[in-house]
Amino acid sequence: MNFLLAEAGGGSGIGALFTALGLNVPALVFNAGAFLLVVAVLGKYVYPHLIKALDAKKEELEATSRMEQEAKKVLDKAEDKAGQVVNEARTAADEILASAKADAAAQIEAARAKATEQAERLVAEAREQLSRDVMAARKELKSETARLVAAATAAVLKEKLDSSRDSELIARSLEAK
Amino acid sequence: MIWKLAATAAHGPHVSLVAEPIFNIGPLNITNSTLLGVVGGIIMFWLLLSTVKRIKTGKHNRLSIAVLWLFDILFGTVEEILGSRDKAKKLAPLAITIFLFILINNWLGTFPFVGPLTWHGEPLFRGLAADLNFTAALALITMVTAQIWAHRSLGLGGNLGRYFGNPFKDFMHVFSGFLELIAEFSRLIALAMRLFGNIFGGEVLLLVMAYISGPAAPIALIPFMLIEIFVGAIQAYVFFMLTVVFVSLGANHGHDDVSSEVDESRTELAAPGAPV
Repeated sequence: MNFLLAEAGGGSGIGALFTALGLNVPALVFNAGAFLLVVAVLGKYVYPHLIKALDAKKEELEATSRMEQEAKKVLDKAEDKAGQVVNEARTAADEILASAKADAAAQIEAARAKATEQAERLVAEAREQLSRDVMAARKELKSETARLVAAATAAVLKEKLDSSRDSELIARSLEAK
Repeated sequence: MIWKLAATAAHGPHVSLVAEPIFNIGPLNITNSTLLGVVGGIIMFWLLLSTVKRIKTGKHNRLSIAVLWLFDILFGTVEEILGSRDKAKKLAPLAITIFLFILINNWLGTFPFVGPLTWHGEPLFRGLAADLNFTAALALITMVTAQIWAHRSLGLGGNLGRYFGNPFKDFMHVFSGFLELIAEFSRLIALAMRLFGNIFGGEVLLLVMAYISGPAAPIALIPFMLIEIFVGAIQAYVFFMLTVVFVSLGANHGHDDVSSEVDESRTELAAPGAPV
């Protein structure tokens, strides 16, 4: 403090201190006025353009942000719709699958029943045929036996037998009894 | 030029607290700090006007992008502290001009031609903020602006009520109001002296280092010049921030949320290593 006051010419008090620091009212007023003039000029002709540029940039960013949000909404909606469509498709596919399974089961059942019926019919026909064959074989066997008996009788009697001779022999036999 | 600085310093550092007058216009002394202020002002106008021109034509270059980017940051800071874009638009011209003007002049003050170039034996240029008249003028403008904003926000009675009260009703308020009044003056003096002290101290540092390092000054001074560039930017930002904070203190008096923001800002400014 003392060296400041000494530089101010040995005075004392706040005034001498200000003088030592070079503070004087005209210079202070000049500096303040000049600076305020600079602020006023810049505030009128320069900063509004810069602020406008910042506002434009801000609006652009906000518009981009809005567009992004809208795009996100559209995307969400599309995803929802896609999910819905997929769900519907899945449900329809499940229904179709269930229906196909039921159809397949019904068809299998029908085929099985038809096959069973056909098999039973074939078995019945086979049995009938077998029965007829057995009957025919029996008849043939009977007639063959009769022929063999006739042939054996002819061989025993040493005469050729025919139907009239047979009838005669049969009648004689009946009379002998 | 830097050799000349070293040569000048070799005779012993010439330190003057007061800006030296170069010529007079009537009763007004035009000092060497004013001359550098004019140069700084011209540079600032050129920077801003060229940026505006680039904005209008839409053809940006790196400089205009840098200026616009800096303006965006500063404007954003003002808006954040005041809490309103409209308020920021009103205060930004003052606050941002303070920052740019101080920054450019602080950086100009580190140039080697400041000091060695003489006019009738006196240095032709001197850092603008190394003149207390300039820093005191800025501090006065800031504090008056803070009062105007407080008056607009709180009204005459509300603003005076911050400092004066009825001692029979609330003695503590009278006491705190008195402290607030002292604080306003201390802020004014601190604003002026902080910037002046830092920049003047920087100039003295450069002179002393040039004197000490002698012939090696051109190399020895470089780190100190870089430090001064850094300090110049910090001081410009500190003044800018304090301007906005003081105005916001007056305009938002009584709002706790704003006060806490301001306290945080002060804490940040007072962080270790910040030469405030």
